[in-house]
Amino acid sequence: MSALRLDHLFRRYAGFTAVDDLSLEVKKGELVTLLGPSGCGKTTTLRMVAGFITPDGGDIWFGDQRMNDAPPHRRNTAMVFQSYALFPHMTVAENVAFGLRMQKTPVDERARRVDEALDMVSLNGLQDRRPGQLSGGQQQRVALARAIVTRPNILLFDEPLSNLDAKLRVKVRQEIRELQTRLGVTTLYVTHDQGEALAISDRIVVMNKGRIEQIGDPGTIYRFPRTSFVADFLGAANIIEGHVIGKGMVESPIGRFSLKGKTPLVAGPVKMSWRPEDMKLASGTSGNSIVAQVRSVGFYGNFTELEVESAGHLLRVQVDSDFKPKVGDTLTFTIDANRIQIVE
Amino acid sequence: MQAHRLTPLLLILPGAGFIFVFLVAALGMTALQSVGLYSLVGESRLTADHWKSLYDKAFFDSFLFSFKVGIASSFGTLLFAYPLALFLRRRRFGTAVINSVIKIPLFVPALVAAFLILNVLAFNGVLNNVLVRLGIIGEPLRLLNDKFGWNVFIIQIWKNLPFQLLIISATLQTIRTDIEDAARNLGASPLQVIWHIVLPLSIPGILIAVVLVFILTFGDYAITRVAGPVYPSSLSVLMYTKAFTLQQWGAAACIGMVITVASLIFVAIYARAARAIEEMRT
Repeated sequence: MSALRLDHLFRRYAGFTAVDDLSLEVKKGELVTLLGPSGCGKTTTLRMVAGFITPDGGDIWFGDQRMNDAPPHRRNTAMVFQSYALFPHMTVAENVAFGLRMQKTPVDERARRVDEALDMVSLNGLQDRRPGQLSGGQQQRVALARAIVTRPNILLFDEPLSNLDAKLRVKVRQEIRELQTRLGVTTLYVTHDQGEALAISDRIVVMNKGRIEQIGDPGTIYRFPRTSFVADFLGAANIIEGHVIGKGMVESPIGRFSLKGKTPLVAGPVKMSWRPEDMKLASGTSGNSIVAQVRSVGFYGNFTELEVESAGHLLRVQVDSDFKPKVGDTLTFTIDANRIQIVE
Repeated sequence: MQAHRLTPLLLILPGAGFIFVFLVAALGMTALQSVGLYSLVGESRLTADHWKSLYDKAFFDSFLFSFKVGIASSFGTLLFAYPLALFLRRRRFGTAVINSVIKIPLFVPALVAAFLILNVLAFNGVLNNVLVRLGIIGEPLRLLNDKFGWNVFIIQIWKNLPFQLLIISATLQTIRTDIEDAARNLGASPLQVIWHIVLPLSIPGILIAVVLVFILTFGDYAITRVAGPVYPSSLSVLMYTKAFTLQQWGAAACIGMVITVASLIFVAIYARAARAIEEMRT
C-alpha cells in the first residue's frame, strides 16, 4: 500500500482551477518532487496534504486512512517552510521541542530526542540561541530538525532552499536527501528549480496549470520528456515542428531527420525535441545535420552556450568552452538519432 | 556663513518652539507653582506648603481612585479588545460591519459618551428598566455615581475599546501566518496556537495598549465628573476643584505634577519592559 495517495484531487479558486484532477501515489520512504512554474498548483497540492487547504473534490489517503476531514494538527505531517517559519520568541531547542510538547512526550525523552535531532543537522551547541541570531542556513536546519523530531508519517517541503545562496543550496539539498534516506520517511517536496528536482528526487511530478504533465524518475523525465512543456521546463530544450514523411523520417524547416523507428506510425505533424548538449559540431553534412549561423555566444566556464539560427529558427547549443566561435560564423551540427525525442 | 549655520535651527523652530512653549514651559511653570513660585494669587515665595496641604485623606483617596480606574480600565478594556482583535483578524462574514461600528466611540468626545451611557445606566435608565420589567431584579440597581465606580469602568471600556483594538490588531498583523501554520502542522490546536504563539508574540502591542489607556484614564476628568462617585473624585477632578472652587492654585499645580510624574513613571516601566522583551528575542 502507498504511504500517500492523492485521488482525483481538485481545488478551484475564484476565476481559476489551482489543482485539476490530480492523482498520485507515493510509496513508503520515497521522495517525490512536485516540479513546475509558479501557479502550477504544486504548493496548493502540498498544503492540501498538510491540511491547510480543503480540496473541493477528490480524496487524500495516508495509508488506509482517508484524511480529508482531519485538521492540520491531527495529520502527523511535518512541513519545512520556504520562510523557515521558526518561532521567534523561542530558542532553537524550544523550537525543535515544540512538536514533542504538543504530542505530550515525557520531558526526559523530549530532551533526548531534541539533542538527537540537532545532532543530525549538526547544530549541537546552538540550543540556546534564538532564530534571529542564526544565519539563513542554520535557520533552515533548525526548521528541518523541528520537522523530523516528531517522526512524521509524511515530510513536506515547500521550496525550502529558495532563500539560500547557490552554494549553500547544493549543500543543504544533499543533507536533506541524506537525512531523508537515513530516516526512510515518505517525502513530498515542492520546487520550481529543475536542477534541485533532478538531484534530490526518487520520482518527479512535472505540473503545469494544475495538471500533471508527466511522472517519472529524474533520468526518464530528463531524457524522455513526453510533452514540449516538460522538455522545455527541464533544461531549455530545442523544439522544432516537422512532418513525418516515411518510416522514421521527419522533414522539418531546418533539415531532414532520421529517428530510427521512434516516430508514430501515423503520418502528419510532429514536434521534435533535443537538449542543447545533444548538438555536436560536425565537419561535413552527413545524417541529421543542421547548418546554422551563430547569433550569440555565452561563456559559462565549464561550457559555452551558443544561440544559433537555422532557417529562421533559433536553437541553443552547448559546446566545449575551448571552442570559441564568433557571432556570424556558419557551423554544422549533427544530432544522434537516439537523442531526438518526439513530444506532444 | 553665520546665517547658514542658523538656517537649520530656524527651520525646526516652528515645531520645536511650539513644543517648548506649550509643553516644557507650561510644565516648568506648573512645577514652579507647586513650590510657591510664579503664584497666580498672592505673593510668590519658595515654600513646601502646597505639597504639605496634599497630605490628607481626600488626596490619597483620589489618587487611589484614579489609579484603580486606570488599572481596571486598561486591563478591563484588554479583556474585550484582545479576543475581538483575534476574531477580526481573519476576514469573514460580518467583520467589515463590526470593524466600522466598533470605531464609533473614537469619534465621540468623552463627555458626550458619558452622557450617552448615563441614559442607559441611570437609576431610571434603559438597563434598569429592562431588568426590572423582565423580573430579573426587584428594584433598580444603583449603577451611577456608585462608590466603586462601575459606571466609570463601563464608559471607559466603551470609549477605549476601539483604541486598543487598533493597536492590538496592528500587532497581530505583524505575526506571519506561516508561523501559525507551522505550529498547527506540529500538532497545536487552534487554541494552543493562540496560547503558545500568538499571545507571546503580541505582548509588545498589549503593553502599549495597556499603558496608553492607563495614562488616558488615570488623568481623566470628564467621565469621572459626570458618572463617577461623589467621593472620592479623580485626581483631575480634585485638581479642578482645588483651583477653581477653592482657589488653591498651588495645590492644584502639585496634583498636576503628580498626574504627570505618575504617567511618566508608567511610560518608563513600559519602555523598560518593552526593551526586556526585545532583548529576550534577539
